[in-house]
Amino acid sequence: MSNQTLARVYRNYRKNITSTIRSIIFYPMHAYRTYYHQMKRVINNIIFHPADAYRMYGKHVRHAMRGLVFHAIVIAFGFVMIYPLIWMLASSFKGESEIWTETSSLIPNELNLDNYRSGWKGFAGISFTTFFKNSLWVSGVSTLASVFSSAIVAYGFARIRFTGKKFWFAVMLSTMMLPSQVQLIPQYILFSKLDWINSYKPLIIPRFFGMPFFIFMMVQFIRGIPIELDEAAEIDGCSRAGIFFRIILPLIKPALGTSAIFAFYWSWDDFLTPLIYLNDPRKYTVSVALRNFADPSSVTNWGAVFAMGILALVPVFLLFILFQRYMVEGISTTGLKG
Amino acid sequence: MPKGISRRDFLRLSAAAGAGTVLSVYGSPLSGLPALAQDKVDLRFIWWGGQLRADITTQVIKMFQEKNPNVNFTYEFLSFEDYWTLLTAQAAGGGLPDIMQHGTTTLAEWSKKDLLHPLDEYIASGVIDFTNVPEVLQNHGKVNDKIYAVSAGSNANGFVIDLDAFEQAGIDVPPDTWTWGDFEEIVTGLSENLGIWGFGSYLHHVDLWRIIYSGHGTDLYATDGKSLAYTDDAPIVDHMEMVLRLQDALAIPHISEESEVNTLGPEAQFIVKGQCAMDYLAGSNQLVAMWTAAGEDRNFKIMPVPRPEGGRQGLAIRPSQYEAVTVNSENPEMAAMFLNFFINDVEANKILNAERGVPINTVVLDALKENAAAPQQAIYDYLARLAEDSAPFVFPDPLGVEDIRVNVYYPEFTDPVRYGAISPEEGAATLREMSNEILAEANQ
Amino acid sequence: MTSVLQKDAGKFSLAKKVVAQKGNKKWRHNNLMGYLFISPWLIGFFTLTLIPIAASLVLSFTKYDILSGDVEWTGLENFRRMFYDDPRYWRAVRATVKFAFISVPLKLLFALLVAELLYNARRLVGVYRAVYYAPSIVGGSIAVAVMWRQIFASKGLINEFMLDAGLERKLWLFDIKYAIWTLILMAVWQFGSPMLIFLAGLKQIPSEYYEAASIDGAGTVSKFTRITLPLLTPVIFFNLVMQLIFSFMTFTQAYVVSGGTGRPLDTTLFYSLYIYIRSFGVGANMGYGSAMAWVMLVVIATFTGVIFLSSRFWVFYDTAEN
Repeated sequence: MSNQTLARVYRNYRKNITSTIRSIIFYPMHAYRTYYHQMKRVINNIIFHPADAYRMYGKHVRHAMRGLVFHAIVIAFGFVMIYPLIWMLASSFKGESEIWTETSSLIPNELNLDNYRSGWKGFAGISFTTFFKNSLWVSGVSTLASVFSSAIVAYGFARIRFTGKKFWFAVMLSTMMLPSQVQLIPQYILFSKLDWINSYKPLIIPRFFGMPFFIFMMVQFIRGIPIELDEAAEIDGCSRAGIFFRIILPLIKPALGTSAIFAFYWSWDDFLTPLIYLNDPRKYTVSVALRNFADPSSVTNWGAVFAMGILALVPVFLLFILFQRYMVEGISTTGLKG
Repeated sequence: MPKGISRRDFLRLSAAAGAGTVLSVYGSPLSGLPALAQDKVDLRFIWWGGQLRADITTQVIKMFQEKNPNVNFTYEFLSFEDYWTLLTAQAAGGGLPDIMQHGTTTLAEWSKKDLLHPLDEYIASGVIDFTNVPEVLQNHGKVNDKIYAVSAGSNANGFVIDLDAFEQAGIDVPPDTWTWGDFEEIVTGLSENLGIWGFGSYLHHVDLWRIIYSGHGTDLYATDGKSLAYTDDAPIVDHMEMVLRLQDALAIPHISEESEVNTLGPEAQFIVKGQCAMDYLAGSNQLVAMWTAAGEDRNFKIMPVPRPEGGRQGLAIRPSQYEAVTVNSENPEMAAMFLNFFINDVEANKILNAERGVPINTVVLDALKENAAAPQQAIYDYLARLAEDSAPFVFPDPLGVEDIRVNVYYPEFTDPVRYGAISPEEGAATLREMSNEILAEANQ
Repeated sequence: MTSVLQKDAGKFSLAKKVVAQKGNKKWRHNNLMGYLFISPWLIGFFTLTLIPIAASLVLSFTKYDILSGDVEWTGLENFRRMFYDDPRYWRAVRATVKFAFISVPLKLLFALLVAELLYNARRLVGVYRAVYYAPSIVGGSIAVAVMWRQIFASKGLINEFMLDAGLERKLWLFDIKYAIWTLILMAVWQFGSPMLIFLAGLKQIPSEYYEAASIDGAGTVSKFTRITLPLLTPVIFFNLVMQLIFSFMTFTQAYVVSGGTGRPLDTTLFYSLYIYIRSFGVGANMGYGSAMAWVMLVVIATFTGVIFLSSRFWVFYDTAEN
């Protein structure tokens, strides 16, 4: 479908909705007549046979009311939560002047795809195709690496008693407490000695050694699993590795799924590391490209920034939807005795 | 300076020790192969700036590559803050690009710390051709008797005024010799007649501190750099009292209102939106972006900053920014060739079009003046007027200046004064004392 | 139900004695396996993490100029200056502590409530979960910062509501009283990550417990306080520790909203932001920044330690280790 057709369809659609709402507001009698017969029966019942009506509808009504209130609250609150996202989405379709003049309107005057087209071209002759490819590669590998390695380490900390365990665990936690700002320079010097500059190594290799956040989280989850399961498996002759792969891993799927979502998002969203370690714009990730796009100290094509910002969210969102499946099937659905 | 461990080696050593450990884990990387063909030369250039600057600079890079097909050019452009974070890391790791952009404070510091490659040999051999560059401007990049950078264009601070607003208010455009007294009167008049602010943001800008003292005939810093050059707080106190008077009279925005705008781009500025009749320009080259954002139908003029009653012009003409070659460059001569192209090539400068300030090459400038657009014309005109009685450009600044600007001037002086937390006298005294302390420590 | 849990907690303290009596061979085997399993992290720690951390510790006793590489031993001077001679430092501490101690409890409370609410929902759970998590995935992006500023700007959305309600408009972002609250609100708004972790934790509670409680006639509230809360304590503990650490380190929001200045009047000058200003500006002394960072590490570690020590009184693991 051509762009003009799309725009026309959209305009008609908007017009239709508007006219429907208008008719309900301005012609209530008309709407009333439409539903008159059904309503009359219900109302008759309620007025003349209240006891029967209560028996007939009461349970449904109460149930429906409770559901309605619940959904109303969740939706209203949810709207506040994603208002900014809707705003961004709306802005990505607006023309440059409309973004700032009609700031609070959530419905753009027309469905303008120019922002997406001009944004995708990127800069310096490098399009967002390249940036997306780079980002997907970096974030994909980092996610797999960090989730898997963290699970292994977490099992060690959660289930095996060994000398120095508490010490190493405390050390691991403390590494998270030092602000990254002061580690940046020593780390850069280290990585440049390793000849890692202008490659993806600084972004990917550290992820193979587990990330303290995930390790800690998985430790907490593993400790929530009844130890009797391990013991039973051990009696059956299962090795440590066997217990880890066959018992623990399947049972901490919710934690693994959550970790994967976070790991992907953090890697995808991180802009400082790629900015510092990648010198060639052809190697840039989406986050760096976006940041370059949106230098607030100069006139910027905000429409394109919002458009690319929206597109940048898509992979994260898709991954979220993909992995939240694992959060649904927890221990509760596997029917184990506690 | 008490001697510690030798220069820049401490961290490298410790990192090398660590790297050894890691290498034994991963196996050593391939040692750098010798360049296969001498004719292919890599050049890397990083600058800060927005989309407009990126577009024109990349075009000029392409032009250079067409003339020098053996050059393999890579480049990055970043926002100002990201730029310095990245370049600081690269300086520490010895991975600086061949060519980088600098401001006045950073140039002084980076060249004193031996991170930049002196250009004198290339100027002597004619790789960088300074024939058509006035000597004053050649020396704008001189630190400790060596030239470390070329000015990317000349600049000056100033006030931008909206000529239409002046006309509408029935107020005459003042002469260049206007005083702060005239200024206060005009701002009040503008805001009363027009119902908008007379002046926009940054009437307390840190550069004004120096300009005001310079107007009184003293530079801000003592010649040995170990202290401020003044002991009398009166000029800056008077200025802040005026700012407070105007703020209370609603002739200028309240500090909380202008803070919101100060971190945003040109399109959000008060004068661009028509919310004030006069505004601050941290550099005359910024008029290009401002005027572009405001629209071609507007009429702007740049005025010099007012002078004190009976004082002199406190403004200096200075580089807007520099381009420099770093010590990590493997092809400093090729990098110098690019700088030469950047400042001397007429066609290249027709594209750059004074976005980084007024070209220092007079031949280039004449060529650009021929059919200059309104913003460029206003800038050329302003610098030409200013050249007649401007204050000398004092360079380089003593060490510690940036610390004072970031950690003292705004947070300890102007912000608390404008929010009404302390009086101008208290603030000015704190400013002087803390500045002296920092300067004394940094310039032992 | 609770009695079972308490018994398990008791078993935990017994564990040490039991282990001490185990055979030597088993002990050695356990050591080997333990280090084998944590070896990925250990190797990473010694090769990549330790050096930058150790370097920053050493640097905190020096004056270190990144650009020239000059390192000058100054002993405790950085710490003296920080505590006695730097007014901005204490403002940074105040802003950070206020932010952390208000935003963390609020954020966790929201996360837990919404997680519980969504856990019980039958329909549209996936959609709701996505909706509530969405703010957290747009976290650091410039576009969101711009949007956030739009909402609280002088002519922004909130002020439109204020005017409609007959109130005066306020300059939220740069008003001394309100600026930090906009940042707290932004932090609380992004409660998605702890919420997801709570949800994962809820999913891990065996449904048999709830069924048993239902048979005993327990209501929704008592199920929540008697089963959900106790069994969720490991996850609550984790979220509390992590959110506290994260909130002390908050950087991006403050950086973006105030343009990295800590305005107004340093009320949003978060600790990390100040470390950054001190470490990276022209003529900055990264030794000073490192010293600040290490003070922060000690403070966070103390808080975390206290939470860990207290955890034996309120965190219940379903079983003790063997």
